Amino acid sequence: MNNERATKLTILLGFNGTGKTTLLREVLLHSQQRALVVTPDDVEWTDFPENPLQTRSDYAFTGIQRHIFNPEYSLDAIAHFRKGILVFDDCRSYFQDRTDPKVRELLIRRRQREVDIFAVGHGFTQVPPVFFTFASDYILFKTVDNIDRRKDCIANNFDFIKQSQAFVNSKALKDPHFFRHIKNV
Amino acid sequence: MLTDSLVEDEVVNSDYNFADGDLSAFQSEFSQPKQDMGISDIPDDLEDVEQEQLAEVEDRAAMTRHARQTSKFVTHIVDSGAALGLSLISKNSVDSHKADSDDLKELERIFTEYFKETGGNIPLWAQLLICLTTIYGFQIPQALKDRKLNLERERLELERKKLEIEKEEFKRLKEAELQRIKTQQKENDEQRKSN
Repeated sequence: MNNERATKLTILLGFNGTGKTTLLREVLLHSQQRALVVTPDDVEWTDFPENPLQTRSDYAFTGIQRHIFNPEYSLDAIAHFRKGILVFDDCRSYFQDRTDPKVRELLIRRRQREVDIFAVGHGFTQVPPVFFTFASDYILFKTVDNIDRRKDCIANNFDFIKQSQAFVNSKALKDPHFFRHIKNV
Repeated sequence: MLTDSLVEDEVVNSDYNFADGDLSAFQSEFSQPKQDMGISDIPDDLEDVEQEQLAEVEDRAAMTRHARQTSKFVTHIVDSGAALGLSLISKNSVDSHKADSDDLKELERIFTEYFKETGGNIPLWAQLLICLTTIYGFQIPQALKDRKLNLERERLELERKKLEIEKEEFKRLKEAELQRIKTQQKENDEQRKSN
């Protein structure tokens, strides 16, 4: 029996303090895969070694490492990462709405590169539209922005996701760490 | 705009695959092996860069880091300064006029681009000076006011203690006087009886 799965592109959304980073850390630590966390600055994920992704040997790491995004070269460097998990933490800080075609290619080619991807943001508008186009999963914590601004790019289950946002937000009034996982079938 | 009815109308449609507060299905699927594409961890298409290229990349990276650090600093100063100015107008707290984190990030991003473009940056010593002035300099008028109030409080406290001592002394003298009168009366009574 073939248990091989397709690579995932998970969109993880939640306001500050909801617990999305804690959850993500758990997922990474239990995944038994290597992971590269791309962050906008050097104050996050400081317990993991920094990887500049500048030489071939930089790509031979195991475990979890972080890469501080540098607009000068990071996108090209990340494109060479394979066999592992790629986390774009707080991706709005370095990806704009009009996303570079390299990002689109990165998402499309993730199967060939054996890369699972997490796009992390405070809300729907904090993740570039192209990620929604290819999303396989959503993990929703409390978010406060307007999902309608992503209506054009959420092809599947838009109404359900919108409804889920409202549901999670209402639950978060009592439990700020409440989340919903949606498999985007 | 999301409506309350949407919240109440929780979906139980089996077409949707979801779980609340539970990631076990996700993690179980995630732990399965991915389709093997026969590739290696180290990309074949990545050439070892020449030392010169590496230095160039490092220079650009350092410039970006510097621009980002400067923009972070400027954003903080602008936010604090603007919030302070607005609070003086509105008489609200300074915090109520501070930008939210998303706006700050956007501002920081634009400053970064600007500093990269212009090559302009503020030397670290100047940043330190501005930072110290902003953090502590703005507190000087308040510190002077507080000093005045604290000196007055200390003076009043001393006065209160002095009054308390005097009150105690007065009480003690009063009791002694009463005792003396009582003793005198007793002696007078005894004398009267003996007469």
